[in-house]
Amino acid sequence: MTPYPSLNNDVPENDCDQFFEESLSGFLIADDKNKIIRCNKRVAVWLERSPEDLKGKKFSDLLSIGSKIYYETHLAPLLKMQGFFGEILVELSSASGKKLKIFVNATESSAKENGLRSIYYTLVEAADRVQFEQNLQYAKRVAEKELLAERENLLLREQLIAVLGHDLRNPLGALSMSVEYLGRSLPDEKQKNLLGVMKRSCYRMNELIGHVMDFARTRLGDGIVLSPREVELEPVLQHVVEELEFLFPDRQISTAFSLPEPVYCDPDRIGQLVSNLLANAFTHGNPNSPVWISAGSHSNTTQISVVNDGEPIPESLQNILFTPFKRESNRPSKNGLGLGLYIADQIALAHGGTLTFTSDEVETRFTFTMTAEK
Amino acid sequence: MSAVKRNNASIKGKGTQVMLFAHGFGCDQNMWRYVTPAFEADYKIVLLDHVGAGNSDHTAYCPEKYSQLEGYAADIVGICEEMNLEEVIFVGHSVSSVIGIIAYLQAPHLFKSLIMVGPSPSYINEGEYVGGFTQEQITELLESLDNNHLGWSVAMAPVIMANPERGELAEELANSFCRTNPEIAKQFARTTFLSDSRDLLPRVKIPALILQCSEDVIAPEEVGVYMHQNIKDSQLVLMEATGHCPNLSAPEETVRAMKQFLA
Repeated sequence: MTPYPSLNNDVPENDCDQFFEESLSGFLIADDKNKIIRCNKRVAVWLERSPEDLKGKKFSDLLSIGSKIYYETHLAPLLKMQGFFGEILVELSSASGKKLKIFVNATESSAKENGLRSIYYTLVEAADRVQFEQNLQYAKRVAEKELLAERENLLLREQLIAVLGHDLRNPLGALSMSVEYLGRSLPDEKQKNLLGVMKRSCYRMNELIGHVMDFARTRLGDGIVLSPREVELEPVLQHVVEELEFLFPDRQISTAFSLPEPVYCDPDRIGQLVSNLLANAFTHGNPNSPVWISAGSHSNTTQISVVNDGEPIPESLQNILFTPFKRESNRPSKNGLGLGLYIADQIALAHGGTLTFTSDEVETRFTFTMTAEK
Repeated sequence: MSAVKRNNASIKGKGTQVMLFAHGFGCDQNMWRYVTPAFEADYKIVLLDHVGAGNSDHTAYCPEKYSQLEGYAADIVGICEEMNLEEVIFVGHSVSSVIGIIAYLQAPHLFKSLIMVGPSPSYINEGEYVGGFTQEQITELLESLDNNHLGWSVAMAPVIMANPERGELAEELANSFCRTNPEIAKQFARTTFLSDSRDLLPRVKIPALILQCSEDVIAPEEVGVYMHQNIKDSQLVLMEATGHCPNLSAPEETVRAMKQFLA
């Protein structure tokens, strides 16, 4: 390292003295025995003593006990070994017992003619910095505590949802079976219509509970769990379509299936995905037009599309369509919890596939695409 | 793991008579760097870092063992045994002086003599005994250890600063001096400043040298005198050197006193 050229000649001599005395930093010069030879006003003010009074004292005598011991055991050896230390936080102890936190730098001078070295100390007030750091640490502790509490709350809430969903299924099952039983005793036309309404309501409720439980499960970290196997997919899809047609006799579904090979997937989950997409199309599509479902496979790729016409999906919703609970803030909700598409998307992801959509004036099309791994 | 490895112990020097150097609180084996060269020609020099300091294995630190000075002493004995050292001249700085005494009492057959630099058997004033610190001061010290904003809690940041005045210091060395784990340093401070080993002194039956500095705030003169009075075969040397680390601030005087004792 090249030393900086000395600029001494350009500075009036008493300016250096004035700088030493009037600086807002504390300056101290100690001899080779670490006894103070000279200190500036700033140090004297901090310590509430006169500069004369401080002459002959050891630097560590200015410190509170913890800092003093730290100085003698850590800093003094370090200074002797490497010739300097820097940016160390210590505590001054004033004549009246006030504690003042300062940063201290120290360096040994180059050797004098007699071979001895002085020690130069620079002291800078650290109170604001220390306060700032303490505030930061405090804020961090508070934030950590709150985060922990929130996490626990979240966990509880999700567990509650899961348990609740599970417990709702039992009474609903009893209700569904009773409706089924009543339907068998050949009731009249009016009663038949009412039973139809009840049946659809039971089905919807069952779906909704399923969604809530799936949602809770995915949020609790289990994700959608699959039981995949080689399966003929067409009968699975056909069954879902028939079920919906049965429940919603006034709606039409047009199918076009071309699935010559078995597909490796979880048939129950694929059925659920398709059911969600069809229900979504019923809810948002034009009630007077049929809903289209097509499925096909080519080499290893399987595709299922559900298409309806009607109003396109508003642009404001397109980015958040698969986000739970985020639907329909600008339309009256027709579809309950807004979990159907979220879960359909999760099922697609669990299969290593994708769920995509296009929506314009002509049609709204959801497409599930899955490529089997070789 | 072996004590030698755990304590980063090493041997150098050309002699057969062993001198084992143990550093004090706040530093590592580097603190002997101005002293050991004077003995290398005639002695076998063993250096070590206490667990938690320097290049020791910091993961080997367990509070149960090291909350008592006995734990550190057991490491010294372990090193002597593993290295097959005998007739050891133990050189300890500060708290390591007492650690040396405890090691000697654990395995008296291993040690020949004790050289103690700035030793203190107890730091707190009690009745007639002057340890240098009042109970209140030690309480304040322990409190300052607990609140994490004084230098104690800060690991020394590695500083790269050319120091052409000190050609003998390689740069990489300058950056690793006194590398101590801050948590362990706090524990060590607690262990050190709460220790009271005064009752052990009369049991020391081998020659001992006490190097007492002037104006040492950690171990004042009264403490050196007390040690001298309570160790039967001891010599007390009052040094001109001031402060707590004469091995760094006045290595010539330190070496001279040690050589006189060993002669």
